[in-house]
Amino acid sequence: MDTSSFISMPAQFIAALIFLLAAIAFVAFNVLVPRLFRPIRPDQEKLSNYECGERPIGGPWIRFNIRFYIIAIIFLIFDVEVLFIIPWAVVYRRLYSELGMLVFWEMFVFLTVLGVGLAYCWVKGHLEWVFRDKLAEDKSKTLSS
Amino acid sequence: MLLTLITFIPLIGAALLLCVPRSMEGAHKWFAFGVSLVPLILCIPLMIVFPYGEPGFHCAALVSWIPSFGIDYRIGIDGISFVLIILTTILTTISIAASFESIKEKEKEFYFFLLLLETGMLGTFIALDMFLFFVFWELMLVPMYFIIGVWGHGERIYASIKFFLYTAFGSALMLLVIFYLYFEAANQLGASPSFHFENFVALTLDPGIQKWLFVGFVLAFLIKMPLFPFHTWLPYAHTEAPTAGSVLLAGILLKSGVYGFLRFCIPIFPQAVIAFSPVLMTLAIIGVIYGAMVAMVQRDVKRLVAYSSVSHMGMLLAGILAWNLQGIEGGIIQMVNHGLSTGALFLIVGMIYDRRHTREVSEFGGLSKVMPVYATFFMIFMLSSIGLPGLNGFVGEFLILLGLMGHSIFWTILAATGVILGAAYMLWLYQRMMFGEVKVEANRELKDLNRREFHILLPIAIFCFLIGVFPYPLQKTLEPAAKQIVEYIQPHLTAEPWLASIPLPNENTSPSINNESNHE
Amino acid sequence: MTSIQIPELSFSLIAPELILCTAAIVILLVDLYVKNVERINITLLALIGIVLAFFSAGTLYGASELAFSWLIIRDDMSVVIDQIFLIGAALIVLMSHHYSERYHFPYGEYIVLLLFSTLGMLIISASADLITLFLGVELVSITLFVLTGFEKKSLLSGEASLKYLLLGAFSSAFMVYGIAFIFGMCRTTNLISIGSLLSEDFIGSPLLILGFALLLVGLGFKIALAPFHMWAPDVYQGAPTPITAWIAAGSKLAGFIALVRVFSLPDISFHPLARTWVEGIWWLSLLTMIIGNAGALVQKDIKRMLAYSSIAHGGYLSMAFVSHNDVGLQALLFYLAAYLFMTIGAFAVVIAAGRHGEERRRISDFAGLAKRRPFLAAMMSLFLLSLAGMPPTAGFIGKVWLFGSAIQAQYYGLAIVGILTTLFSFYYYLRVIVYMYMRDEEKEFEAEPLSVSLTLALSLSALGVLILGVFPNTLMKVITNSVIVL
Repeated sequence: MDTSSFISMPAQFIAALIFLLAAIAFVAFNVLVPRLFRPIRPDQEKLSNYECGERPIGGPWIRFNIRFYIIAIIFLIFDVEVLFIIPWAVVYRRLYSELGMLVFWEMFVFLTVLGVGLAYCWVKGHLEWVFRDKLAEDKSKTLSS
Repeated sequence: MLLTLITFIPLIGAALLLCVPRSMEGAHKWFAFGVSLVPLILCIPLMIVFPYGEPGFHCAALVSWIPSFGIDYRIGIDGISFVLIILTTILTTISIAASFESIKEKEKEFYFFLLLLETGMLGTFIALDMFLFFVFWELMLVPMYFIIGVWGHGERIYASIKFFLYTAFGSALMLLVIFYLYFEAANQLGASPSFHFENFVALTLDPGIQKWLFVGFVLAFLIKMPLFPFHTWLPYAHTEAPTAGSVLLAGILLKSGVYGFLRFCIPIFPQAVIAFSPVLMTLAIIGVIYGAMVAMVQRDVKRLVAYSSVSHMGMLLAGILAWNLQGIEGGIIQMVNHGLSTGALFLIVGMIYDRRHTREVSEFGGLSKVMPVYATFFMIFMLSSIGLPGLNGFVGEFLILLGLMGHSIFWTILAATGVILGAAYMLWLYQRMMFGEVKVEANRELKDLNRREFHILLPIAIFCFLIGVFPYPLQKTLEPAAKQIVEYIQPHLTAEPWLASIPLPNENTSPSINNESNHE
Repeated sequence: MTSIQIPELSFSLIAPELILCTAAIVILLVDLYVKNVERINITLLALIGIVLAFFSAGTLYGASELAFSWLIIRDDMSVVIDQIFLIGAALIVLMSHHYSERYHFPYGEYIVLLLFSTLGMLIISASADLITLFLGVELVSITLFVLTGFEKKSLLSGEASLKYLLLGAFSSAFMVYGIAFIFGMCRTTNLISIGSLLSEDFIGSPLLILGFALLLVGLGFKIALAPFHMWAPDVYQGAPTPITAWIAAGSKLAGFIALVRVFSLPDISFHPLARTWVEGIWWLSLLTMIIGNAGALVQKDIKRMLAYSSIAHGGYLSMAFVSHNDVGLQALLFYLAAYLFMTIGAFAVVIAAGRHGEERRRISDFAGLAKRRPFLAAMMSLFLLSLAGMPPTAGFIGKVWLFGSAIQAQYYGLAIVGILTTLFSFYYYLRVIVYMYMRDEEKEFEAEPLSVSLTLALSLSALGVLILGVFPNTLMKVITNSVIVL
């Protein structure tokens, strides 16, 4: 790596800086300028939360069920897993010729580890919407007895 | 090997003591007493083996301990450490015996800490590797802290923490200096660095830096000694400690400060020692007079003895700072004497405290009628502390004053004032406690010394007489070491210009007095 | 089409990590599928995994290789550190076995998370790339966030977990931001490439220094260097005690190892920038020593006191980066090992002194412990004296060595401040001893009997403290060799 380009690197960021400034200016312009011209007449309807045009039911500060988050995390994990598998699948044939079954086993181990995670969720009952903490129930039974 | 055994047998004994079950009451003290006898008995072969009158370190041993840093288990003794080892073993055994009846709680822990302390003290005197020395030096701290804090009286917690923080402060700075010297030695002497103290002696240190190093280094010893402005921990620690703690504190721990000063400070920083000796001398003499005067007004017997320690230690340091053979020898002999007589005085105070649970002078009076044997012993040790000819204190004080005389008349006069004051407060104390009518009813019923107490005090009294009448063996033992110190310091004495104003020891008189002492 | 470069896969070099990971997964499955599994079996499984990993690490001495396209470095230092981590993990498992009985944790999950956090530490010690390093740091942090909140019924525990999570995420953001800057400037995240790049003729550009500074701040949060220490007392107080011990010992150790990997090894990473960053760490170290020790002076809760003491120790330890020499690095590694034993030991005593529902965490609760539980009081004194740095304990040798390194590098001021703050520390360590030995208890308290596992943890820690204190050469030799090799 040549050091000259390395030192001059900040200079190359000037373009990015200009972009950044331009973006800020654009947003500021679009937010501020209409303010000057538009009429401001707020009423109850206008100030209520926007919920796809429907009339909102209840306040926005309700507690979400924690299980939404758990489901979201589980989704995320398996989503990312796919992200790994696709490139692997694309180069599988070529790598197979060089490395043999190792290519297969690597993904196998990866999926097994993920499988353990899935099993964990399953046994703990996180895949069912109506939540039953079976294990905890069992444990509390044995502990209380 | 002999030295190693003497040092570590108490440690092994302490570990074994932990295995004696708590239910066996009374077994712990006898076990500890038995263990402490072993190093005492081992001192006899040591006395046979030790080559008296030969300079250098004897009975040396060297085992690599932490080779990565050149830290060795390097031990050896010369006259000074030899004498102090014997003193330590004697006083430890005596203080264990003295605790038999006064310690009733947590006996197991008490004797454990006493034995641990013995290893620490002995190790301090045999270590020639600075790192090893530091380890033992710190090892003395913890057991003494517990002994004062757990088994002490009154303000024991305050006293123990004060003692710990004062001494830890000093030694922390000492550690920094040791490391500085270590890296300096690695730079200057090349090769593999080591903590051997003779390597440090061989260094040539820039006088400017040397002064700073000296200040950092000597503070540890001055606090332990203690020299005048650093003495404030001592009255508390001495007064609140249990008898055994006070005895060992006065008898050995204070000596370790002087020992460190003699063994390490003087050889490593000769120029700085000379440069600072007017300051030290002033402080020492202030200590002599201040200690004596404060002692005079004490109402608490133990506190009085504690302040007398401050006075005596100042005297002792003044003798060393005279930088001639008599002064240094006197100082070292006085170390032993002070250990014996002040240790014994603390025992005496402890015995009366066991009976009356008070130490107020005004609570006593006329005890000589009730407790004649006790009064006799008290008198012997009191007189020995004053320095009556025929008893040990005289030999040391005489040599110190002789040495000071060769140094400067001015200091001698002041130091002598301290001796007179010392006689005054001691005699007054004795008079108030022993003579006159028995005023307090409780004193009428007091029992005289029992057999155990009698046998504790007897050997100390015998030593007091022996050294007083026949000091030659002791002096002969110490002479090579004292000469060595004079040799370290002599070349630098004349080199320092500031000394021109102070009368130097006359070149003619020094050797002649040397001869005399050899004939003695 | 260009052929893809396949890196050499040397699984044997990461055997300890693999074994530990397998053990964790096995325990997870056992806990899931075996009905009513005894806690002792889970403990044993975890211990077996740790011991196997320990020995497999032992076989890697002298390897000195880079693996997985320079993501992993396997040198002697990483092996020593791995083994120290594993010993610590074993002690924590033993403590947890006792503690979980008191509070009925979901024990299997707890142990799994503990093992995964250990795995993260092992990854940190073997990382040769900023990405691997970050992976390790995150693995440690996230598992510890969860573990901190494990006492579900305790509000303090929840609060601690939340604080730890927020500040942990914050510090991770700093780290990533720093890494991004470094990557931007050097076009690589590999520490070795960065090191060789910087050693050529590169004089630190401001952006690179910014990247470095952000990384330092991020890691500073993890090891609680002042002024990034605010989370520590609350988290230490709230977390279940074995986890507090693991945060204090393991996570701190891991943070320091990460710092060593990034900043300190000769010819690797940022070493050439030394002059710039030594200045910064000098101030951090000074501030941490003062704030940690001053804070500890006024604490009434023993866990908070130990937390501040742990902060203070972070200050002493970072002195090694300031002195920036071989001696300092060796001292750091030694002191980390010593620190692990004494901290874990001290927290083990805190556990043993309490019982269910009554944790006895005020310092005044320790009054009269010597009378009631002489063994515990003796152990506590040993650990506290070691933390204070008294011979003949491991803490003494470590501290002496650290201060020595600062003196060698001629940072006298820092060494003196270190010594003086150590003196302050004597006061608060001794205060606990004063309570234990010199005061009587206020009211009768019947504690739980000592269980076998806790006794084992206590005795092993005590043994560690004493062996490293009296015969430091055993470990010192290994450490000295491992540092020289680099």
